[in-house]
Amino acid sequence: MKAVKVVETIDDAWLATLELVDREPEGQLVHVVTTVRRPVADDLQCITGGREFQDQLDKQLLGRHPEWQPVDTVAETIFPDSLYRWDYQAWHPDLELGERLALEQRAEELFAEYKLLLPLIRRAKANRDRWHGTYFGRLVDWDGYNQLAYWISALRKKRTQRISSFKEVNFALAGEGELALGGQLRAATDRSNMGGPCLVHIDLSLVESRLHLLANYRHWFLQERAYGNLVGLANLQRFVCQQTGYLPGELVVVSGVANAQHDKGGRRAVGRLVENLRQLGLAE
Amino acid sequence: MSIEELEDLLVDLMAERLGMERSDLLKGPMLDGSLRTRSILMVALMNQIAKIVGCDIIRSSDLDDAKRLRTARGTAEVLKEALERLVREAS
Repeated sequence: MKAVKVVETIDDAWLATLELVDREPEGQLVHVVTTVRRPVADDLQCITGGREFQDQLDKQLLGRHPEWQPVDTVAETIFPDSLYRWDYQAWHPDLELGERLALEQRAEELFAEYKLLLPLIRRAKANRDRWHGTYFGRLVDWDGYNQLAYWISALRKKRTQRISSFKEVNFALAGEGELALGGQLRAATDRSNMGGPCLVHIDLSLVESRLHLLANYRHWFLQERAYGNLVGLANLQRFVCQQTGYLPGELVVVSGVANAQHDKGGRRAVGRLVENLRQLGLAE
Repeated sequence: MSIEELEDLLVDLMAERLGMERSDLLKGPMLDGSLRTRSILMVALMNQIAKIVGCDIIRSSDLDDAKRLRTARGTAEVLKEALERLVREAS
C-alpha cells in the first residue's frame, strides 16, 4: 500500500498520484490511496480542478491519443454536470417552501432526463465497447433502483431531524454522529476480469457536518481516465452537498492497481506531461 | 434546414438551457471553428428536438462517432443526417 501525499486540489492530487506511480519500474502500484482535502469549494460554486489545467491536459493527451475521451466526457459518466444548473442555494429544511421544492425538483428532473437518455447512451459505441453503461446510470437506475436519490433523502432526513432536535445554535456543539451511505457500481454477479466497470463502490460519510466521499477503483488508469474520474467524483460530491445542505469534506480514491500506463507513450511521455503541467504553474 | 441553421438552433437551445445569453455562450471555447460542446448535453438537446418533431429521430448508431458531438457544428451534422433519414424513411 502507498499513500500519496495529501493535497488540497484535484489538480495536485492527480499530478502527485501519477508522479508516485510513474517512479515504479513497471509504472504500476497496488493499493494506492489518493486524498484531495478540498475537492469542492465550501460555497459549492466550483470544484478545485482548474479549467486551464484541464484544457492543457486534454490538449496534450488527445494530441497523443486522439481516440481517448476528453476529460469532460470521462467526468460526465460519473456526474453529468452539463445537464445540471448549479444556480440555487443549498438545500435546507428551513428554506422558503417554493425555493426548496424548486431545488428538489431540479434533482428529480436530472434523474428523469438521464433515465430517458440512458437507452440511447448505453447502446452508443463508446459504451457498447466498454460495459454497456455509465456510472451515473448505475447510480440513478440500477434495475429501477435510484441509489443517489436514496442517499439524498437519507441525508435530508438526518439534517431535518438534527435541526429539529438541537436547533441551529447547538448544531455544531452537539455534532451529528455519523452516517455512512454506500453505492454499488459493479454487480456482485459481474464475472468480467478485464475491462469496466473500474469504479466499483462509492461511500459517503457524514462526520461533523461534512460529507466525505470515498471511491474504490479496481484498476485506475492514471493518464486516460483518472483526472476525469476525479472531476466527476467531485461534481457528484458537490451535487449531494447542494441537495442536502452539508458542507463538502475530503475526497479519497483507493485503487486496487494504479497504472501510469507506460504502454501508452512510455515513461518519457508521462514525465513530459507532468513537467509541462508543472511548468505552466497551474498546480502547486 | 441547413447545417448552419441547425448549428444556430443548437446554440440557441444550449444558451437557453444553461441560462446564458447566446453572445456570452459564443465567447466560450471553440474547437475547429465551432463552439466546443459536451457530448451528453448534445444528446439531450437532440432529444429535445426529437420531442418537438414528435418522433425518435436519433439512434444509438448516430452517436458512434462521439468526436462529432464535441462541437455544435459536428452535432448539427449528426442532426441533419438523422432528419434526412427520417424524411427518406417516411417517403
